[in-house]
Parts: sequence; structure tokens; C-alpha cells
Amino acid sequence: MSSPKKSKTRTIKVDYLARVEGEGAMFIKLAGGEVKEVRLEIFEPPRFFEAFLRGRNFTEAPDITARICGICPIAYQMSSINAMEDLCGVSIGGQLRELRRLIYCGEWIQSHVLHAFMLHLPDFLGYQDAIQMAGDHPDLVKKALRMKKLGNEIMNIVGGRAVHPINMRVGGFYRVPTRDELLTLNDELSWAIGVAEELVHFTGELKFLDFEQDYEFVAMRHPDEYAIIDGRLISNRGLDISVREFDEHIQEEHVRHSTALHARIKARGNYFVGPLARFNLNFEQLSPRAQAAAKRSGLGKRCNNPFKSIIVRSVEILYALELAQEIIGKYKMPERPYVEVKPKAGTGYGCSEAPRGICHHRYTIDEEGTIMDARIAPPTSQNQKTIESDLANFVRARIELPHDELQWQCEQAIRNYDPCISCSTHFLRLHIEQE
Amino acid sequence: MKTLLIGLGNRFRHDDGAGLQFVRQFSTNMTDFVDSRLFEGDPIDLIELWQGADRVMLIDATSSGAEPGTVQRLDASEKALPEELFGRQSTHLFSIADAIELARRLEKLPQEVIIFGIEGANFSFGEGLSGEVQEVLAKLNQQVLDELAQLTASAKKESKASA
Repeated sequence: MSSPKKSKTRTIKVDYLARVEGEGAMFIKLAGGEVKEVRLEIFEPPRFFEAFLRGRNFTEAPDITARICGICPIAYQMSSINAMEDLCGVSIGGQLRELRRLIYCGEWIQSHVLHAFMLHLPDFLGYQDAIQMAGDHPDLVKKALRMKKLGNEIMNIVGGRAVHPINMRVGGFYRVPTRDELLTLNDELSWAIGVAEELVHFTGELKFLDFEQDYEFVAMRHPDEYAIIDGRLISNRGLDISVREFDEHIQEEHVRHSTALHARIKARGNYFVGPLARFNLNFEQLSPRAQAAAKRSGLGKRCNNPFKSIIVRSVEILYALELAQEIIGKYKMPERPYVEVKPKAGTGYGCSEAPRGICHHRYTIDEEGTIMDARIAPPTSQNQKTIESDLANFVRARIELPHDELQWQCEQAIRNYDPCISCSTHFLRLHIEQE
Repeated sequence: MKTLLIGLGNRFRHDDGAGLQFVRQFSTNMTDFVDSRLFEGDPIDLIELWQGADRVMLIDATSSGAEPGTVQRLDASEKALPEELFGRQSTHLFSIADAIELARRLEKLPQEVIIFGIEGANFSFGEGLSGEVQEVLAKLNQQVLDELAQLTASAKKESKASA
């Protein structure tokens, strides 16, 4: 799709999906052997939902925010629930908390499997897409689909359904599963743990482009767990704050080319959230088996190459499967599915580790429980500046590559982030212009 | 043979919710012959949803430049959907066309896959369908019923002939 080389301006444009024009695009401008401009343009659904939430009751937030993303509804539900419980002074522990971790494992499993093995892996094996890949590797694709189905099943059993689950609420669940219901997952989990271990090894053997960057990684940190549903926010450059202090340290700003807000740490600049951040900051809290698999794959304890995020996602799949089995093994059905939560006027903050990184929510409600204000910082908009800066550095080192090759490698660089370009319009256009 | 009717879309993107609304208000006296589902997830999960079904009818919104409310009927049982209607794989998600082709490759595609595409006018954020889209749903209801009746009649004929 590139225009003839002799013309002064060369343009490469990829329309991934022309369903709704103009929502997500990557624009790269090259001139005189230099990278002049890199823009990631995204239209971000949370902005619409923030307006939609105002005037609703605080108990409606989990159901409404679950609609923001079909892939990671639990992240939005959990962060909104955390914020409301923070606001109303309630803390949920015991088996209800364990069920929250369990359903979140389901989300990590299905989201990571989809990205790592259906969307990312074809890049490394040299296929245009998973459909082509399935021709040569049908068993691998079938295994991935079966594992994704298991993630969906966990969400179904705990959440009532896999897409936009309906069972989570402020204070707990509308209904809690019986022990027998959860035990139906056990054999499949045992199968999947073995397969996930193989897949960590398999992804470790892939060939990776050499692209190490000096990132500030931000993830949640829990004193006793590889943080998923709660914790403090930390970074490898000294950030160590409570979820409530997010606005004091992190600035979200409008940029002209995107409707999404760009996030930056006020003191330093852009940062990187997601599997790589969690892995680098919390490696020691992974299970021994997941740590061993990571080491065997050649990852070590730290990874600064986003192309290797496919291995890290595989490690997290393994970890989430093990954790799910552990929670189910110890599960005792709680007597009450939820704790009553009374509204209290004020502002509450909640955060959790969505598959793509921290998803931070802030709500202000009045004494009746009516939402007066909502602010949601999803992971992709937090990574947006880092993706742009990665792309600029990436292209700078490869400026001599033929356009088609450069375009293909840029697409891969974007895919490293598993970007949620727009949660429901499936849209990304890539545009490279050379003067 | 029972038909699985699946309405797809996102109800918070105006006309993208046409397929969902269609299934929600779908009325039939042929309940023995058709099951219906709403589907708002990643299209790759369709492969799981239609497991065991011999015939699937998908109702989805399209954005092809046709007049809003135009209904296009496509048969994906034997060949791929046109990309300009239902798109290609994105960085983040599978499209419906991808899910169908992946299922075909893995021999997980039902025998018959019929898609009714309803051309939308407005895919911005918000609830509710455009007038032209809402209006065409009743007509499409009849078209689907006629097709089901025809399929059921020919299935009966076939089973009589083989008896």
C-alpha cells in the first residue's frame, strides 16, 4: 500500500477496520532522516461514561462501568467498587475478597490469552493474523481458545456471565457460588496450568527485536500478594503512594490530537503500566512455579523490552491459573453474599490491576449516594505517552528500513502494549508519512 | 434443526446496538425452532457460543456507506464476509469476519451462517437507535421469520423424503 518511492512524500496507511472512521490512529512523520512527529490518536470511552455516571446512584457504578470494556469489565467494576467502599468506610475481607481475586484471575486469563496467543504471537511466527497461524498451528490455537474459555467460565460462575458480569456489587456479590460450583473448574485448571507452563517456555524461545528502554514502571503493591485487586501504587523511581494520592502525583492532561487524557507523573513525566510493570516491581510475589518458569524462559527478574511482554503475559496466565486453583481449593461459601454499604458524602478512590495495567477511579457522591462527579484513568491512556515515545525511539533506530518493513515493525511495537484503542470500535489506523 | 439467532453490538454506541435491539424485541411463534442470544463481547467468543449449533443467524450493524436502515443478507457458510462490511482484525480485538474465518479454519463453524447487517447512521457514544434503524427492525423480524419458515418447511420435506 505504499506509494512509489520516487515521489517526495511517501505515505503508508493501514486501515485495520473501517467500521467507524477516525477514532484510533497512529501517525508518524519522517523528514530528512529524522522523526518529526509521533501521534497516537485515540477516542476514549470512559469520557462518555463519566458523564453518564453523573446523577446515578453510587450502587450503579459497577454495572455501568462494566460496560466500558468487553474485555476487562471486572477491572472497571472492581476499581469502582473499591472507590465506593473507600468512600463509605467499608473494607471487605475473607472469602468475599477471595472471590473478587478469583473473578479477576478469570479476566486476566481470558484477556492475556486473547492478546498473547491470538493477536501478538502471529507477529513472532511471521503470520499476518491468527487465522493464517491456525492453518499451520491448529492445536496451539485450539489450546489458546480452550484456555480463554476457562477464563470466561471463571467469570461466568462468579460473575453471572463473562461479558459485562452482573454479579459484583458494592459490598460484595449479589450471589456467591457454592463450593461445588467452583470445584467444576478444578480439572480444567489443572490441565491449563500444565499448558501455561509449556507456553511460557515456548514464548521464551521466540526471536525478539532488540529494544530495551529505560522506563518508569508503575504498578500496585500489596504487602502479601502479587497485587491484583488492591494495594499501594509504587514505581521503580521512588513513587510510593496510596490510591487516594493519585491526583497529587499524577497529572492527566488534554492533548490536541486525542480525546483521551494523557497521564504523567508530575515530578518526572511519562510512565509505563501493565504486565511488564507488575512483573518488574513484584516478581518476588509471584508463585514459585511462575518464578521458576520465568527464569527458565530466560526472562530473569527484570525485563525492559516490551516485545518480551508476550512472555510476561504467559507468566501471569500461569500465575492466575494457579491462584484460581488455590482460592477454589480453600473456598468456604460465605454466609452472606455482601455487606450493607450506606452512602456517605465525599470523594472516594479505587484502583486495581486491569490486564493492561492500573485502572484508577475517583467518585464524589452526596449524602443520598448520588454520583456528582466521576473520573476514570484507564491503563491505555496512562501508557499513551510511553507508546508515543517508544515509537519515536523505535523508528529513529530503524529509519533506513523499507517502508513496508518499518510499518510492520511499528505495528508490532504498538501491539506490545495490548492497547485498548477504543474499547468497542475495534479501530486502529497506522499512518507513516515521509517528506 | 434449531436455529441460533445472535444479536451483536454495543448498546452504548447508538446504532451499533441494532442487533441487540432486534433480538430483544424479536417476536416469533416458532420457539421450537429458534433460540436467541444477546452478544456484547469479543467476537472470538462467538466460536464458543455457537458450538453445537447447526445453523446460526447473526444480526449486526454495518457501516458501508449504504442508506441507513438498509438490510443486507450475507451467507458466510461457504465463503468469507466482505471486509468492507465487517472489517479485519485490529490490534486489540477480533472482528466478526475474523471469528468466522478462524472457526472455518478450525472446523468449528456451524453448517449454515447467515448474517443480516443493518446499516447504521450514528455510531457515536450514547443510547438509542436512529429512526431509520429502529423502523427497519419490524420488517427484518418478518424477513427472519419467513426464512425460518422456509428452512423448517424444507427440513420437513427432506426428512419425509428420507423416511
